[in-house]
Amino acid sequence: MFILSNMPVAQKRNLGTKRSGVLGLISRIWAQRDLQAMAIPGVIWMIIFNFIPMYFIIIAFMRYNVAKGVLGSKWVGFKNFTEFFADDRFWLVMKDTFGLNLLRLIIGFPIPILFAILLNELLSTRFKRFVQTVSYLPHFLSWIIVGGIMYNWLSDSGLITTLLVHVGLLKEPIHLIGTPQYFWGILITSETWKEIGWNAIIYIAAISGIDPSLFEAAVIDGAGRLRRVWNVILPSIKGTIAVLLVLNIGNLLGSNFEQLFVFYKPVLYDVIDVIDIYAYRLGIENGRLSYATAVGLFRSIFAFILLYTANKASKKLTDTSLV
Amino acid sequence: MKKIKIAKLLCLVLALTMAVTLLAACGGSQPTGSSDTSKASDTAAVSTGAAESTTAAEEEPGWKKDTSPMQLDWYVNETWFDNPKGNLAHELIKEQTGIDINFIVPVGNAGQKLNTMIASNSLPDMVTLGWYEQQVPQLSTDAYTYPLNELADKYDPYFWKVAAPDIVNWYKDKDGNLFGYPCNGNTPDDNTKYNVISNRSFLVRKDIYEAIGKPDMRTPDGFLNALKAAKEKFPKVDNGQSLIPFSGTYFTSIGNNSYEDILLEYLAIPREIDGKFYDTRCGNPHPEYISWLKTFRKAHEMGMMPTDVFVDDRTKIEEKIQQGRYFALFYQWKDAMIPLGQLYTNKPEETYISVDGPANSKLDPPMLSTTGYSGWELTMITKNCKNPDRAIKFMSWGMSEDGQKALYLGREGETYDMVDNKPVIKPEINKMKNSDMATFKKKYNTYGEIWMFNSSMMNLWEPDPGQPFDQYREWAKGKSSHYGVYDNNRPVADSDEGEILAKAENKWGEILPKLLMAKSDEEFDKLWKDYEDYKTSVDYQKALDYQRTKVAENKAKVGAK
Repeated sequence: MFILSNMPVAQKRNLGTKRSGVLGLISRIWAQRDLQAMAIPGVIWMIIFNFIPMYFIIIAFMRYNVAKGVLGSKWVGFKNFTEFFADDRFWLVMKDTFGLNLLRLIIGFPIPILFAILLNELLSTRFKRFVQTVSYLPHFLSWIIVGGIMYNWLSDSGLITTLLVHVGLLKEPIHLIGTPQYFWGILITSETWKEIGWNAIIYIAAISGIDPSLFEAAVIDGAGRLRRVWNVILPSIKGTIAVLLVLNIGNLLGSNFEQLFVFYKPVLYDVIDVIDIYAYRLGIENGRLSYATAVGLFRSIFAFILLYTANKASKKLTDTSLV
Repeated sequence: MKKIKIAKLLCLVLALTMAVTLLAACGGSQPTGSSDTSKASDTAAVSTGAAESTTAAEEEPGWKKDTSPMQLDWYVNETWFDNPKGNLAHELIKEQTGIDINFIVPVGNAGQKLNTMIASNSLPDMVTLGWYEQQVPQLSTDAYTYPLNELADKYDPYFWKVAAPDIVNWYKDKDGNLFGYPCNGNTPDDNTKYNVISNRSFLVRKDIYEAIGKPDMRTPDGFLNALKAAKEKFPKVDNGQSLIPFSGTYFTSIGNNSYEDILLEYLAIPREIDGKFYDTRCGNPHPEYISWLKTFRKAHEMGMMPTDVFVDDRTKIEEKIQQGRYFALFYQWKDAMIPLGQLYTNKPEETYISVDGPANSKLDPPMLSTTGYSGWELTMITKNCKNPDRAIKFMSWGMSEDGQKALYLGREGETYDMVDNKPVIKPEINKMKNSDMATFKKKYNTYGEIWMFNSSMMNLWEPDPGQPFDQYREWAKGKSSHYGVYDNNRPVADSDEGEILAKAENKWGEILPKLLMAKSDEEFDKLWKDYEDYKTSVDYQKALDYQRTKVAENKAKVGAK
């Protein structure tokens, strides 16, 4: 749909052939060949990285041995799954995954919306641009770097720890990042800080797409700033918010692996063991690829159900959905 | 609406076309791949012929016959390994064997990198990895690596002259194949013959230790009181940061050596209790061991082991050693030579010295491990190697006296001189190595820094490493013990026993920091019991039985009791 409607080149080449059937299709493709060519790398990428690996899901039901390959490895049925469900860390893993992600959703999701709205209210374009640029710069730093910085700032002699001691919030310098009870807070704060600008971009775009006459009408009707936000901006970007929320809910079982991996220490295992990390530690690190795959497959199926339900709900409530 | 439907159809058709072309591409590449392998076997066949024609002149080392320039890709499974190209050792290898080595070192997780290479069949010509790595059993098969015995018989019988028979026996599999040869392989006789000493050390900062009256730290009370006294007298170190009274090495996902084998050896607890083998991790049941773990727990409760001790990685620990931030340190000194040397150069009075550490209640001297028959890391020649004949000759070179001398001593006149018919390394080279490792590595990198062929023979030429290291060696003399028969007892990763052992070890990795950070002895006991229950629930005994059988087999191999 997108390809057909927005491409002037294709239009020049007479797209209007009304012939139907296979012949018509081929001639259509031929007519758009330049544009279709552009999609090819993406399609290849999908096939290599998304479709071919699907075949290897089968190793979740095996005791896979790299040397023996898929055909030579022993079939074990659902053993890997039952082992995961029976594992004494199963509920802890679930708690960590859902807890961390729910907090991430509750805190990390609305803040960029708020930020976008606030940014929109700024009058000086120059200042607005400046703030926006600065806010999304951290997005481009890798977690390894951010993690390293935080590690230094939050250690017992770090900048932030020293500051907190001076302000009186901490009695004595402690290693903040090595203390399990502070870990989630640090994680969510740092992620929100890092991604706030980047996540706000889509909302800023949505807001700038609102018809200015709506604002003018609202002003004439005597609406103040808050009124305009509530009655013009929010209803106008409702669809965007809904779509992104659905996507985020689908990601409830996911994790920011990189971010967690930077802080991956035995002391923190109890608060850091989300599904992905658990699969990595007990599966991949021990060469148990089958176990890791089984845990990963469980996650994917669960995530799909969540996404599907959220999408259905969204369609009912806001008439917006992914497909 | 119609437009949309057509677009969807188009997408579908395109995807299908792509799939077909891709499959076609795959099909196309297959024959090329197989032709590659056939080419490789062709060359192999050719060189076999060459070898057969020269079998008569056996006694001549193989590497001398062919020194045409060639590149060899060599994967070393250690992130920290570093060999700046163009240094003396590297050049000597090129000169004597014609081989230009291209070292490949993992970035990040080494095991993962190796697994990826195995899975994608992209192993380079040669691979070096610790014998204890879980990939070893997998790699030790005809599918991945050449049996060294076959290569040696075929191309370079001289290999048998330089390989130690004991170690060959140790590593031979059921079919008599030898897939890898270790560096630092060491027999009990070598311990005495070459005066092999252990790297284990219990280090304390000299100035603090002396200021608090050189206390005896062998008993739990002595240990705790010394830490307390140190902290009271020196709450801060020179850079204004707080003193860390005690630390071990870094924690990994399966535990921490300082509180496992190192501690057991200091306590002179043998690997077998009442004739039964117990693993060094997974909770050794010896009461003295448990009581010392409780002592460390107490140290944490008293604030003698701050959180840093549990979260710092090797880099952080080395940084802190260099700043002299620890009072006492349970660490292998050879693992921290750079920071220890730098601290000594910068502030000789704050240097670390090796003293008597934790001991059992009878105050027996420690029984520190040296390397065993297994040695340290195995070098293997992979099936991807295009010139296995050159690779095996190169290995023979490395293990021979020529190679040992080149890699350890360097070049006569440049890095060492002959004094009374004995090679002696020039003092300035020795000094550079101890004070400025970076330049040393760039210029020479001898001293067995390219360590894949290191052997006990090198001990003959080893100069006194200079302070502070001389003192560590002096302390360790006569405390060596040979634990060789307890190596190589690991079940393969994809067996029942292997899975059980992995689970028990991972759980130990989770529980060990908790044990040490427990608020009270009662909590410690509860955690310990929980762990015992966990082991029962995963049928740990099965894995342990497997290990015990292996130990018995190992003993039979070398004829030990």
